[in-house]
Amino acid sequence: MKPLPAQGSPEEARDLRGHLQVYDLHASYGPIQALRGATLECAPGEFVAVIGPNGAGKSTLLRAILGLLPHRGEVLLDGRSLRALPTENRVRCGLALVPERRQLFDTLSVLDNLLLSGFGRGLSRPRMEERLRLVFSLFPVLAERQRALARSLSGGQQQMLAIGRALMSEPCVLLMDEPLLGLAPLIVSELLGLLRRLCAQGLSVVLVEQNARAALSVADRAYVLERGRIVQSGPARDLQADPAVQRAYLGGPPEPEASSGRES
Amino acid sequence: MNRTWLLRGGGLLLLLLLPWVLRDRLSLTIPLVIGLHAVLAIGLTLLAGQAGQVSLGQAAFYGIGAYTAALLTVRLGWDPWVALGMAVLVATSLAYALGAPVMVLRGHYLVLGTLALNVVVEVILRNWQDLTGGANGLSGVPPLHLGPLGELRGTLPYYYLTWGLVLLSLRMGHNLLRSRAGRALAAIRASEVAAVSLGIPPTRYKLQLFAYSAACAAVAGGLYAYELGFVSPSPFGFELSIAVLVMSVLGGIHHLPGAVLGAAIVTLLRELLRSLLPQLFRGGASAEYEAVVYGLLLAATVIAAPTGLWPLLTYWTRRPAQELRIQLERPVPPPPAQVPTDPIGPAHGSDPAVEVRSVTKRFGGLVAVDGLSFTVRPGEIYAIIGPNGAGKTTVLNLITGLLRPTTGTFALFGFPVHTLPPERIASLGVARTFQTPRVVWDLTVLDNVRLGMHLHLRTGFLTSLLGLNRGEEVRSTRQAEALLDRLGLAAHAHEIAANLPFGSLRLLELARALALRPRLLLLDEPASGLSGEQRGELARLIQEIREEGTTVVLVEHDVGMVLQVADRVLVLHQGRCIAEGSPAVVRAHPEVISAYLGPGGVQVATPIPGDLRSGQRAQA
Repeated sequence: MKPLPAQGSPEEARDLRGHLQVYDLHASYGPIQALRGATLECAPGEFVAVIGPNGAGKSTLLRAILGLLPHRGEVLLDGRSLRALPTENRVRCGLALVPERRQLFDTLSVLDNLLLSGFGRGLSRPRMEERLRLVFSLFPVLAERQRALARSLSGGQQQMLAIGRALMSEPCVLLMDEPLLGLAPLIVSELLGLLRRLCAQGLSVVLVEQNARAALSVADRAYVLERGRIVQSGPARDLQADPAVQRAYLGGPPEPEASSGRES
Repeated sequence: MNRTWLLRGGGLLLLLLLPWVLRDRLSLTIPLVIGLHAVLAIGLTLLAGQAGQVSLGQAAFYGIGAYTAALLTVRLGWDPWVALGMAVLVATSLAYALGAPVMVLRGHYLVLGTLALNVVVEVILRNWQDLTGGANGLSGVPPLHLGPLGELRGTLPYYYLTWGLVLLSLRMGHNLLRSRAGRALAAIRASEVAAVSLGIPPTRYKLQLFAYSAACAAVAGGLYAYELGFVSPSPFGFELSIAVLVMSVLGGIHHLPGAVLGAAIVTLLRELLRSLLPQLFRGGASAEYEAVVYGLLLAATVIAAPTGLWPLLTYWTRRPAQELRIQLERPVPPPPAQVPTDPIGPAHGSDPAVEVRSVTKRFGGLVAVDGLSFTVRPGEIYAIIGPNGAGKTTVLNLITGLLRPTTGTFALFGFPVHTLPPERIASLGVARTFQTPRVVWDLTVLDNVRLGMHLHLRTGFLTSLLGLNRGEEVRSTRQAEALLDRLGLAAHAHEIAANLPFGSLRLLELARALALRPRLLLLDEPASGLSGEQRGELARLIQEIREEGTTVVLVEHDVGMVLQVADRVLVLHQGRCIAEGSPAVVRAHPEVISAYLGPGGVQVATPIPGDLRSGQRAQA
């Protein structure tokens, strides 16, 4: 184990405000350029959505911010550069990711999946218990099945566990890659409600979502990512009303006059 | 491409001229042995790389081939060619007998089975004096004869025969990889669950490949016996099986020609060690030191070049080809193919497409499905919704045979199917998609779709090896291209599936399911991960599929889409049905709202059709 840098210590992390700034981020998979200079910002307590077509580089953006793949450009948390830090230290600084396709520890129990995340951040026992209560109140089914193996959960329950695991690390910036995938509508609205409450308490959220309708309805601001670049940004409400965004990402105007607005 | 042909031509020329370069005929033995080892290694590389099964029995099958050929010619006076055929037959039968119980088990049981086989064969060869001649071996094995050339004596004809066999097995292996059987093996490797859902029987394909690798070894063994005119147990020991494994790994387990490279390196190294080690260690025991060198070599390969040496060697031949591929944006659309749409499976009358009668499924203490009954009419779009963990996916797994009901029965199109294995249920015309797309990552998008046609194609394992499948390949390519075109994936046809973004993987899996020409299509959350535009496309497509006569069962959380396309909706909660009926009825059901939809604004991705909100069903 390498010693942690000073800015990664949990005591100090409590004082972090979660101001994420990303400048001119480039990343590629072999010859394929996935990110070509993406720039975005998430203020403390802000809820930011990133929408865009399949293959635009949305998942790559989150993975690069967390340091999961080599990248060029600058990632700042509260004005301090994270560029030189490996992923585990960025997590200790307060970043957390709900990864695409869940990526749970399949052969560990639900509870162990959650606790591991708290250990990874270096939380004290009482703070872990406090967090655990929060996660279990959001997803009661996880409390019911806390002794079950993660792989025995249904698809949607696994998604809940992936979200719960990220919340367990007491993040100041929560990066979420399609967290609504496979969740029932009731759970979706409860989850989005909780995220809004956490934002009010100072959590910053960057949400990458195909379900642009849900994302824009809950976010403060949004970015549109296309071919590795941010092509549009602004208050979520404005983007929701933007005809081009509606056509491309919302499946046509939201309130059609006739039976279906899609065909027009 | 030019560089590849340069490499091939150079290699061939070297093989042809080598006997004349090596004037001293004695040293031709080493290239001959390299060839024999290459055949063994090619068999193992195919088995390990394609079926994911490692065999430590190549030396045993090599020995069985040699001894069968020797015994039949020496003791019974058979014709050497007939005896060689018999040797292949004995080896393949033994492979089937050993493999059948082992291949049913998942995991690396074949290693253990073949390890035991090798020990048993070695003991029999050494100790059954009356039959095998024991440690002294059998002498007086007659040579092969070839038409006007007469009897083939000396090393030279066997050198050419062996290297002819090497090239033939490379060609056949190459044919196999690009065939229906090769794709089936790739699917089994990627996900057995997905493979059986497409009607591919995993055990059969793995067994066939194991038997083929044994047959390769047996032919090599026969050639060995005829060339030398003498067999003894020592060349067929366990060390050779280990050496063959090292050859395969060293050359690259996913690169067939790598087996030849590996065979050359290891065989030369072996000769070197045999002349070097006795000088270094005068006390003998040089065979043990040989094993140490193999071990080090294996470890070094796995650490330094895990994909083997072949990809490194061919790096300079591949680079221009790759640049070429990037430029290959198909400007001209492929000619439209005749896509047969008639679904497979026995014809049905008015029987329900799906009939579930009081089915219960327990996992330990958890009751996932609890006395559930429902009926899906032919030609309808039937949606199943419900909270997470309600048992929706379990119902799909039960229908497709991946799970067996604890109690209860169900029938598809009037056939009771609750006891059939999944690949048989697929052959009734049942296709499905998975919540997490299970595509074969290392195949192209096009080949993934062709996997769906498995039940419609006829090429078997042997015809695949011999490359007698051109017509069918061309036809299936056309049909797959047409399907990809329909789903908007045509531009990605020749990409590796792993490069596709998540949403496109879903569409690819749907294309693969449609390639089966199903009469019942089961979709597990097909819209999740799709963009708004793609969701609209998907809804349209599902309706189109129904118009073509396919019954669709849809599990989905996008309530907007469900309300738009479904004829009837089943709401599951804790494994039980809490409501069933038309979308409008279900949407207004109080229990559905409290357990699933939630009281407030539902965050759905597809806009809910306006007229549905007032309780009226839209004209689809």
